[in-house]
Amino acid sequence: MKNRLSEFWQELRGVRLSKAESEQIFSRINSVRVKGDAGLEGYMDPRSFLRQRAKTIKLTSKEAAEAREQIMHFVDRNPLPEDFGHIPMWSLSDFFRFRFALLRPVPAMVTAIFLFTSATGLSLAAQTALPGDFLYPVKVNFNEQARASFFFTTNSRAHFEAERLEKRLEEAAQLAAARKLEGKLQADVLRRINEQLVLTQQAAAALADIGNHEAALEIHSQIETDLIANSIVLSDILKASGEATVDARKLIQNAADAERSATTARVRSEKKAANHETNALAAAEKNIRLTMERMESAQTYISDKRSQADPGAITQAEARLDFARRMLSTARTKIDAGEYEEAIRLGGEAQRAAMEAKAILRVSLTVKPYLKATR
Amino acid sequence: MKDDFCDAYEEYKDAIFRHCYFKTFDRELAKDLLQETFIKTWDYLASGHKVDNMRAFLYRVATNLIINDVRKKKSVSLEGLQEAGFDPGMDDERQKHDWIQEEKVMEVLGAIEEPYRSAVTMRYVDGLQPAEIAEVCGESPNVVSVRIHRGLQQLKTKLKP
Repeated sequence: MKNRLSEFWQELRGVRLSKAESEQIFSRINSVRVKGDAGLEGYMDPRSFLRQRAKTIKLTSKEAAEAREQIMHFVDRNPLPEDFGHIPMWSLSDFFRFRFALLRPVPAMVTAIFLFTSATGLSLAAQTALPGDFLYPVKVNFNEQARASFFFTTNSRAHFEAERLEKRLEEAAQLAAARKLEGKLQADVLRRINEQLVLTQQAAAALADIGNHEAALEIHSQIETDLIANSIVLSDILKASGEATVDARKLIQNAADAERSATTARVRSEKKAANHETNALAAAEKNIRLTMERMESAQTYISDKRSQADPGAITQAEARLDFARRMLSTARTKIDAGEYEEAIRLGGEAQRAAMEAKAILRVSLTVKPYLKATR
Repeated sequence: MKDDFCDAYEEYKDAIFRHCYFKTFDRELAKDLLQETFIKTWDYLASGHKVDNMRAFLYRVATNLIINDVRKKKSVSLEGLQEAGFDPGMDDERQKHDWIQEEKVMEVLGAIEEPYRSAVTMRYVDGLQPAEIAEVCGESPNVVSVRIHRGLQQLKTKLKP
């Protein structure tokens, strides 16, 4: 195993072909061609040839299934380490491993234990850090970056970016609750939110690029609902504290601007997803099922958190859920009337309202300890 | 994590297959290389390593496997490779598929020299950004952009009536 690994490393890092070698290899690859007329009339533009024609070359479903079976057989026989993806500090320990090799066994062991406990402790402590805290850079630049490498697909990456945006927004609300959101710190918070917003929107666009319009729409909807929920909680905090400072208003204004841009992106994404649906009735029914799932999830969340949350937040969340129920009921009547497009639009509104209900409660719960600290 | 890896296979399988096929012009070999690429990648993860950009990593592994394969075949004569030519290697599903078109596409692509062919296919078929291609090839984004431009020029010439 060790030998195989070192070979693999060599392949990845050490392989550098000489110019002569690389020319020889490329000439061999080039030499394997087919003779005859291309006969691809209508493909005069090289880009459209590549995008439309060359892209049609793929594995057949049988070939894909065969390869998948072989790969999964290997995957099952070689499981990942148990702690894979759970300890964010292991890349740091990887760095130190090199140092340990230079030390004697006993001091190395002691140093290893010290570094591991301090590094892991540091990482855990950083999890709750807020902008301006000493450990905040560890949370953002280390813990989150380490987690990013556990998401392999465009979809899981996009969800991870959306989760990071959710965190940035929560942090802003927590700072506002603790009345620490001012001056340079606030500018920094705004910058981070906007940067993460761009990253999340790019991740959603990447999903649309690979044709996964449904997942792209989900991310756009999540961005929009998170921004709305955050604005609501932020406004409540400011109302409760009885002072809306210029800096805090800036934050709400920023959220409102972001909301508008998120709504535009979501509507665009909705249209693209709708264009890819061939069966309108099936699409509308699928939409209703998804809406019901989202509403059920929001209802369960509200029930679970009822005892911990502020009554005001519960009232707001329930109001959003009521709105979702009304939209769902109207969407059903539209399906009966054969107005599938309208049913999908109303279903989408119901879904977002249900997501907002959940988000309002979640943000309100994360903010609560900071409000108490200032009272 | 295993599920995410399975999803990664579903998402990238065709792109990695094409990447191997456009370089080797051998469908069966491309399938083997695809399989090996994912197995090696899992092996790497199972050894406790992390992968920051799965797509770029898969391309890099596939490229290295192709280079290794070509190296191993150094003893095979050039004539032998030319005789091997393009083999569609058909099964039932592929017989229904328009494989003549596939042959024509491969012919046009075969007319573009490497490394320009890889650069244009990665850019326009698989949608990688020049920075990502640069990461895969170990070159600078500028070099990649030049390769893409030259690849397009060659392709344009080939597609002229």
